[in-house]
Amino acid sequence: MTNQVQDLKMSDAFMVCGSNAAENHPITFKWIEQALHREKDPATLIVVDPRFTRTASKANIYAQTRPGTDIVFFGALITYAIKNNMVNFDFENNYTHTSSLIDPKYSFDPKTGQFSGFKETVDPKTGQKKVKYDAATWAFQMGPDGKPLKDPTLQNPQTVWQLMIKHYSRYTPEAVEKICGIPKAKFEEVAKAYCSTYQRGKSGVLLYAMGLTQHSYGSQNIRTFAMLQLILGNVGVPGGGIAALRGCANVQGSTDQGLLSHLWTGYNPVPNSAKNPTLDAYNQARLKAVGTAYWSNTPKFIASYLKAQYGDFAKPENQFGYVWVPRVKDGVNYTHIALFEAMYAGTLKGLFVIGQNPAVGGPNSDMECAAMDKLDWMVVSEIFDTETPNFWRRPGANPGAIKTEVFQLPAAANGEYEGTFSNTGRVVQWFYKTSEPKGDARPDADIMSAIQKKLVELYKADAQAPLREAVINLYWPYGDKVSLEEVLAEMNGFNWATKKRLKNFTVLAADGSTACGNWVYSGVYPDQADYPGVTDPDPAKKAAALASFAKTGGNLAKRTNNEDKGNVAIYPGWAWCWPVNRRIVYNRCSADVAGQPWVPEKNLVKWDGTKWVNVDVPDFAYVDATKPGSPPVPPAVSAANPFIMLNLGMGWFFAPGGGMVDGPFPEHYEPVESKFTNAMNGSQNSPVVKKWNSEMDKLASVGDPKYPIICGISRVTEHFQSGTMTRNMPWLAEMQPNMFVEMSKDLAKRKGVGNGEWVTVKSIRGQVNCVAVVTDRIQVLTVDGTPTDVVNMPYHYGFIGYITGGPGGKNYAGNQTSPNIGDCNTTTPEYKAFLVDIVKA
Amino acid sequence: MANEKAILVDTTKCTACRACQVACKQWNQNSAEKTVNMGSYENPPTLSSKTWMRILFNEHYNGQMQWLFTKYQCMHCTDAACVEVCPPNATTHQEVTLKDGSVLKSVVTDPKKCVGCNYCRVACPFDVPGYSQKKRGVYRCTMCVDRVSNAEPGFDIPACVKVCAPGTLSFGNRDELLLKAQARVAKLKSEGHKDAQIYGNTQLKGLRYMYVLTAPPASYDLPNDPKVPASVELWKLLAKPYGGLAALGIVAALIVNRVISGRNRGLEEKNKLET
Repeated sequence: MTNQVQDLKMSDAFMVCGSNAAENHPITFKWIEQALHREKDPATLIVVDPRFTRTASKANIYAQTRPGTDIVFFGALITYAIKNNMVNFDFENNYTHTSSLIDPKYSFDPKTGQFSGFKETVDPKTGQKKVKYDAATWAFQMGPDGKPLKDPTLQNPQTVWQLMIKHYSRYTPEAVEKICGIPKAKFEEVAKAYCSTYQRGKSGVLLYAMGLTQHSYGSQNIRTFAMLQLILGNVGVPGGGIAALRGCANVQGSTDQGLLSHLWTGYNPVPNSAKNPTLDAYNQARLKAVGTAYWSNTPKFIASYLKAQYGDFAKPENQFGYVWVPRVKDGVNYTHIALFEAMYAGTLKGLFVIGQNPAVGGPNSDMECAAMDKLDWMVVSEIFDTETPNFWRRPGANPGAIKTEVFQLPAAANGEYEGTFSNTGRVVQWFYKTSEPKGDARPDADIMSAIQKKLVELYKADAQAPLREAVINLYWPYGDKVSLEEVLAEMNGFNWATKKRLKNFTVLAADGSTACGNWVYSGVYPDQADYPGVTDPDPAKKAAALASFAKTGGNLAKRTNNEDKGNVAIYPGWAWCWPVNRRIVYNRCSADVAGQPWVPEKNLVKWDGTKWVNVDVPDFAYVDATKPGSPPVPPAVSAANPFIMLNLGMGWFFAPGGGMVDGPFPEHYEPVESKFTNAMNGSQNSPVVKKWNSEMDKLASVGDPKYPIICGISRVTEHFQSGTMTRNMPWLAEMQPNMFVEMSKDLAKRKGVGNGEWVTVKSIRGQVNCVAVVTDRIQVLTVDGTPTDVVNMPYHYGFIGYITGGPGGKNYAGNQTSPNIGDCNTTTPEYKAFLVDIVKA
Repeated sequence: MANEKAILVDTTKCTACRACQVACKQWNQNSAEKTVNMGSYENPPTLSSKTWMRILFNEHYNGQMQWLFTKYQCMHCTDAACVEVCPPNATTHQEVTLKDGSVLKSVVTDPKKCVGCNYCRVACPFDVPGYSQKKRGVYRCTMCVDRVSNAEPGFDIPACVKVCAPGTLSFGNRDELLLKAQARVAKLKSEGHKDAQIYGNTQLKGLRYMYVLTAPPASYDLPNDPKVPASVELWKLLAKPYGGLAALGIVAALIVNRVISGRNRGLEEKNKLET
């Protein structure tokens, strides 16, 4: 999230698309309601969703849309805004790169649906086809000064602005009606309401969640809307931004800490064995890619990260331990889908599952269970017994034929230990222990520490063990009972020699003198000398700061001051927000070029003529720390570089250099399983989408008459994820006791299904039993003149627990029907649009 | 009613997250019921001795979808049929003076006095009291009198109100809540909700739960005009002073009255005695 959860109350318009905030983020929705019920100028809530949800029940405008057609909808909003002059030109002209010129060899051909640079190769060994874009033409025309050539008049057809207008000229209200099934008048009502936030001082926000990401072009869905936000000037301002509502309380923390296969901590890329053989090669490749962005400090982040990994063993001569760290192989996918494909192919023999339940939550879960059948061993660490360690006795399985050895480790739940949650708005908050773990249960970190100690023992005993040093040289000052506060201190970083905790990442060094586990968390746990406010000249403020330090010991995640400093929903004393307690990123954009807030009521940073007066921590160089006395930097300097994390410092409409593997402008493609032929261009699916080809990776063909219904998988308030926690909680279980499928009354009538009756939902891959919830909340859509049925299932149910999904011996996991197709950029599964049929059970 | 406490339910803010429903069970340590999905999100299907409140999900479609949510529980009527009809006087009006000098009025049943006749359940215009043979008595919302009169500041409000994130529920002095509700209704009317209204201010001489609605009460599955059944008045006049005499006849009359008035939601289900 670029802004904060509380900041939602500052907004004038909410576009909720691909999110069901009221149901899945009820506390976030509280702040939305504050904006909706504001006395003066209440905000407008727009909900665009295949279903009328509990969120839609509170909407001013609701539009029912066909799953998987968001780029058409958002693209048409871009066209609408530009055509109707609903553009914040002050923002767009100054803070984005619309005037830059693009390589004349760049092109997009609607006939083929391909961008320039499309390449199909055949692996001579396997005979397998590989498709990929060569992004060489997705580039700026560079001048002799190393900067892009520009046409400030925006008239040159090679400007980003003109290319964008041309690209989206096909995206019209008529296209929306035809492809999304949203009537033209309804589209225009939505467009007018949302695009009115282009006005100076108005702001609108996109709230999205898995409804936008879980598509084969999910990343491009969000990019399209980000482009609209740049056009309307809705980035970096109070009440604006892109609000990715994270699916779990701490999923922000998991990505911050490098739990994704392509990332180290702090969003640094995982090294690639072919491209980054040495630390220097890693740094150089990174510096070339990031250009002028703040990421040019990468060598400091990485050296400090490696120092935190290998401690005294990390020395310049071994590249601070870089020589030992595991690398990814070039061109190999290590994401969830790919791992299960590798298990199914028999190349991956062991599986460690911590706090996840792929037998219910994984796409094409019959296939994922079949992959588990082929494992030698599996370890599952969980707070309850779940379907995953019981995969061998799932309905229909033959336990006698499955040889996988399963180990279960009982884990403690949060509340049985203390630590942090990093919320969707990047706020790192401390939570406390309320009770002892039951039985043999242990906190995750203690389990990890025990395993680490055993591994070190085994690796030490075996001189031939692969990557031996990577294990035995680890800096691991933790015992059997890990203090997560000590771990937080390691993330914050410290001076290796003195062990003094660091102020923040601005003092990191590339010479191995500082250790920092995660540069974006640097500043969360400063030493007393650097604690906010302790050097304040105002004695009262200084005393308050010292009192706060006495309470927190320096751990800013423990702060609970809920004062709204500037009456703009900025709470700097509440916990701590990365980076450097900055609550709204890109906040230079909250003020005009002269440094004046667009309106006084939305003041984050302000140039008073001689210096910056700040409510939030500025996201730009506002003082020059290299000069004595750190003099203020006048607004013109930062206005030329408002997006400090992007190369060239400007907001991007056009993604150069293959930053997006599937195109520099988002383009509509159909979901991999679709009832319809792509009406926008000549490529049915994204030209570079990966289709897996084991015998269990079946896909229905376009318009397959056997699977005529569009299905999506989602969540309900009462349950969480695969239901591990909530299905074992009787008070929640009684409210949503069974697996169900929501369908229109019309469809139910045609299928002869009564409300509350059991049905079977079938895809080409698998089937699942559900109670039919027959409702007016889903209507038959008219898409391209064709009546189109949409149904929706929750994914919370399975076959283990206090409640399962229905009577025993049957299948209740919605994902038995979903495909293991991933987003081109991230491999996030396409849970939200695939094809099924429904029969009476 | 100046310093009398009440709960205001602003349905326009309710997202049916049902935190209130769970908080009610948690605070009162009521166990979960074994339920099945009957084709709706709504569950458990009725109020009972262990489900003292639930959220109703009302769907209305006429080209535009409306999904209206109702917090449903004992309304703690000023004119309470259950109190009138109770033969052993187990169900009574209770008044508790709070620390701030205001009064929490509610309808309570003393399980020690309850004889399990179930007259209150039949007489209630809202189908509320839940009878338990095992627990020997009828059970319902208590307005969290135990929290409200004992807890620390900040927690001295009913459990459902405490957990309400969107601000649907507020607990306070009735006259202040009424002003708040009136302002809200005026605003809703100005925004085009012509049916916006307050429910519970005048009904049965005042319910301790008041609602802000944007549609007629029936759209929320609330009785448009709840009344103490005429037969209860008769019962009060004739039979109650003489104990249980003629009770059977009166109950029969009440049931006929209920069938005629067409308010039979869940009655059959409810009349299966819980164990």
